[in-house]
Amino acid sequence: MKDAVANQPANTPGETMQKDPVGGLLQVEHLRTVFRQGRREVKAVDGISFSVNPGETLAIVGESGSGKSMTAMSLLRLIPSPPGEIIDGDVFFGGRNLLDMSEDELRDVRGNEIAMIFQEPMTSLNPVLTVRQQLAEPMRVHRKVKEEDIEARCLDLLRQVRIPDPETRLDAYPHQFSGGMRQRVMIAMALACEPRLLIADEPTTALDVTVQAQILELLKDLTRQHGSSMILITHDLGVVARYADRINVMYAGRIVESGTAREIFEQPRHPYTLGLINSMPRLDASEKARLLPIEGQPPDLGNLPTGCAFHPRCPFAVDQCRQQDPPLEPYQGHHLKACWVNVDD
Amino acid sequence: MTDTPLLEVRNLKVHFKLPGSLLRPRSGGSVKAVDGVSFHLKRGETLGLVGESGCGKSTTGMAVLRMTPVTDGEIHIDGEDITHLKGRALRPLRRRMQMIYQDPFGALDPRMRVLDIIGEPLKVHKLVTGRKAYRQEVLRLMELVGLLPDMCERYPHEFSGGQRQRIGIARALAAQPDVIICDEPVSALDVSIQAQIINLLKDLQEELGLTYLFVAHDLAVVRHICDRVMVMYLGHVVEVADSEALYTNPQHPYTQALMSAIPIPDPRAESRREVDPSIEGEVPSPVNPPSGCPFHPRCKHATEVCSRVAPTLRETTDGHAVSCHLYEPETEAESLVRVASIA
Amino acid sequence: MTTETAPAALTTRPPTTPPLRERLGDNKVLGFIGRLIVQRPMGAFGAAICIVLLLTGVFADVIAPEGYNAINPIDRLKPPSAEYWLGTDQLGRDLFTRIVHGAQLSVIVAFAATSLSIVISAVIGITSGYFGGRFDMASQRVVDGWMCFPDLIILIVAVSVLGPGTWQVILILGLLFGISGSRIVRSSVLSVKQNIYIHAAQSMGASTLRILVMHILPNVMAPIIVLFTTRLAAVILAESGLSFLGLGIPPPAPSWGGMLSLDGRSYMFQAPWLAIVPGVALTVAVFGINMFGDALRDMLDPRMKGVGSGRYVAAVRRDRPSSRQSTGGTAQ
Ligand SMILES: Nc1ncnc2c1ncn2[C@@H]1O[C@H](COP(=O)(O)OP(=O)(O)OP(=O)(O)O)[C@@H](O)[C@H]1O
Ligand SMILES: Nc1ncnc2c1ncn2[C@@H]1O[C@H](COP(=O)(O)OP(=O)(O)OP(=O)(O)O)[C@@H](O)[C@H]1O
Ligand code: SF4
Ligand SMILES: [Mg+2]
Ligand SMILES: [Mg+2]
Repeated sequence: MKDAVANQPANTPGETMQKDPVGGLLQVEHLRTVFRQGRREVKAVDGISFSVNPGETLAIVGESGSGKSMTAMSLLRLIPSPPGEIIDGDVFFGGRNLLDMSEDELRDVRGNEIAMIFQEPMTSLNPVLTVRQQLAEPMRVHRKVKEEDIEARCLDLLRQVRIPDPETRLDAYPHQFSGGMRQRVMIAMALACEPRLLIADEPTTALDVTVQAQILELLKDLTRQHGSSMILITHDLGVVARYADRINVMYAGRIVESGTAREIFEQPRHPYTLGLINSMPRLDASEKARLLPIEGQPPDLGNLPTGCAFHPRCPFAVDQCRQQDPPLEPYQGHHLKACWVNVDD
Repeated sequence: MTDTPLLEVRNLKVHFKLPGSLLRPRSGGSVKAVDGVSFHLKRGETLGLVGESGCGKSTTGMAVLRMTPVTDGEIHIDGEDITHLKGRALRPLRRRMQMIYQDPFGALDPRMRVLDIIGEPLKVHKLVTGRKAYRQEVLRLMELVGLLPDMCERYPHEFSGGQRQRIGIARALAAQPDVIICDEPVSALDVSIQAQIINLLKDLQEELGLTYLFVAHDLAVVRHICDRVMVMYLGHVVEVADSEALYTNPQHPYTQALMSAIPIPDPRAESRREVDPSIEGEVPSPVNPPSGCPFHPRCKHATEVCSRVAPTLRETTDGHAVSCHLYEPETEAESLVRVASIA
Repeated sequence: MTTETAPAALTTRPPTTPPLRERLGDNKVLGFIGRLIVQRPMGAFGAAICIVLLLTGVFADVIAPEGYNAINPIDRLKPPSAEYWLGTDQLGRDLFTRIVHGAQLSVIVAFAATSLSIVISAVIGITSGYFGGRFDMASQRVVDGWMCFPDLIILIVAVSVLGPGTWQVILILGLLFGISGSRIVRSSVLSVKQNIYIHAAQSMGASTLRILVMHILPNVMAPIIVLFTTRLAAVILAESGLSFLGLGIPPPAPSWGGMLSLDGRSYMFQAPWLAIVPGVALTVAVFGINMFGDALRDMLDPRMKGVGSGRYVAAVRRDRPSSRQSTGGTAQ
């Protein structure tokens, strides 16, 4: 790993990010989403490309406002418009481009082949419908499940997400559930049509640690059981170490580093990733060690610095960083980074 | 340094009456948010208060500040009983204790300039005289927390979360308090900013000899700043220990469960780690807490005694106290067996 | 091993604090006017009408120097002409002069009555909303009781007790609108009171008066300003209505409402301009004030304020929204 620098083809501008040889389940290319506020343009997603392979869990990690949720929303064209707009890019899902589809075709994909779990479990469920009504909805719409089978299927789903006593819970309203249970119901709804891809946007951010562990374990087990892929969006690097196969680190609307979980944690090659790992408070630290924060403030997406967006906070920055934007290039195999400097151990 | 602790809380209880129905206004029952909490805080130390949402951490902090009515118990500062102070008599106390809030956006008045926000305690307690001295003091505070002096004319919405938290810290420092109650001061911030604020709080403590009551839900954060840690569950203290002792040797089954639930940012360690499946379910309601030990419905070591008798907090080793039947001396023989089974 | 990969450089760098954003010009007033014109052209138009109204009122004696009661029996009921721009009435008084002086009267009555009503609303609303509890209960029942009576009945009773006249109209309208407006102030105080910064001020030992004046009042200023502009239009209308009913400012004072009702109605067919001119003046004034008020309400919404604050709004991690109430409902 020390001599990895020798065989890395980076620093040759012009070479673009290499496509996944497997030809993933989801292939996102040059996706670009902006929000317009008066004359200002906020580049929420700034030309990102990535892919998700069948059966894999891809994590998207980054600070608040780095564009994680907007990436996910853009995939399904759920961007509030105006002020938002997807201005460029392709999203191939099973060979079809989701961005070219008609609204009708897309509706058939949403909640059926691609399901989403949102950040706020409190507001994502309809307060005036029972759990049964909400669970049954996607099955009726997408799968045309027969009425007499629906109840059995609902109970089965609630059992899968380990809600105790599902028979009595089925006719309860969301407010009668706790936060963790609501998130389980959300997961059950997402799984109702056995989607091929599950997008979980900070599924546990509002929950307690013990409940977070339960929910994440559940998601891991269920995706494994169904063989579905998952995009797990989170700001918590810690969560990602256990549950992700691959990780995309986002900063200011871009992917700055991408690799397997081990690559990211053991050989972080972008100064931002490195900074994130060093600034995490850890339970397994040898003693009461001082944290090493990333200095400075997160950038204003409507007014990005020139060159590398991270350069004002970056301890490695050189002149080139201030002038030119580093492309996302392979560092080693599928481990990609967008940085002009070689950060070594 | 004297032996009387700076802050001492004895058997604190805070119960909130629930609104009853229209016809039977007294039928509501009550939320036992804090139910018999005792602790002490020495000058210059940091005591962590951890636990899941709703376990009564903030309420404990509020009661100590005398911002919420105390149902029962005593609060002493420097040996003086402040539990029953009222009105004007509370004013000096308001200077001696300050608070840093979780939400960096809600805690600052959006219509005030930073200069006025940070300086408000100075005005309220008449700590400086003259406009010049006032401004100078505010600028000094701003520098102390790492804000540039030329930001003092700006309004809160022009700052990022981390910077606002710095403003809140400067405001808390302005009155030169004895105790600062930090209610989840970093949990609304990004990791990279979290570390900045934790380091700042630590540096300020070293420089100014501050005393913190540090409320948090994240054991990992607490580890980096606290000397001692108190774990709460459903209004009760279940374990108190020196920070190192707690992390190397957690004794209460709840503390153990809490620790096992915290992810470790290391894929290799994670692949070896077992997430404890036995801590199922969620925190029960404080309106209707379980009988006996409050943790028994979720505890894998629970026995019949646990559901009947509430355990008391007792010291097991020096400075390490735990409230669990596994460590009750009466059942020592039994507990040895159980402890062995945990290990 | 991963923790060791940190180069020393990461820690030794001094904190860099990039300039947050260019400020939108230092002059707030100019910036506000600029945004008003660009973002709410109708509001700017309304503001222009208000300014014209105000100036007309202030400079009435300069614009129309002859007395509004100068009677000219020869030129009775003359239609608009070069000499009499808006015509004359049945006593030969110049209508233009009367409208201009009427604007003065309207401006005085409207601003005085509205200011009075706002003070009443603010005092009742802020104290009742902030203190809550029994005091709130009691004061709200009084307000309820007051509002049970139709406005018109209160007006008629009050005028018959106090007699007609300018200050009586101001007092009555101020009280009437003030009490009903206190509801709006109170409800915004209730929401402002929830903010943590209020808690912070209390826990730092600030006196109640300080909290009310320094924290509550500035934060309910937006609804108060909006209340002011909407009430302004309403007061002008109400005053005209009173004069129309003969309960307002008695003739020969050139109140628009009075002109519309007394002269306008009697000579509707012979001299329609006598009704049309004050009617149009009223309509334009009320329209202008309402437009401006609407725009003001939107512009004072903090979300519309200052481009560039958006990012920081998104930057709050709504980490643990009060899931606390929900834990209560859990059944295992
Ligand atoms: N409706 C909107 N109008 C303007 N800008 C928006 C809007 N929604 C999002 N943005 C901007 O898009 C950027 C990306 O937002 P996004 O929600 O994707 O962040 P995120 O990474 O999911 O953050 P978080 O961790 O807070 O959820 C933000 O900087 C935000 O300011
Ligand atoms: N004013 C109040 N009236 C009624 N119940 C209250 C009140 N304040 C708090 N509670 C209840 O008291 C319990 C403890 O609340 P507290 O805010 O102390 O929890 P916490 O440990 O700080 O949780 P969190 O991590 O969510 O901040 C909760 O069940 C809460 O619903
Ligand atoms: S490109 Fe330069 S500024 Fe950007 S992360 Fe790499 S070293 Fe730092
Ligand atoms: Mg998001
Ligand atoms: Mg709290």
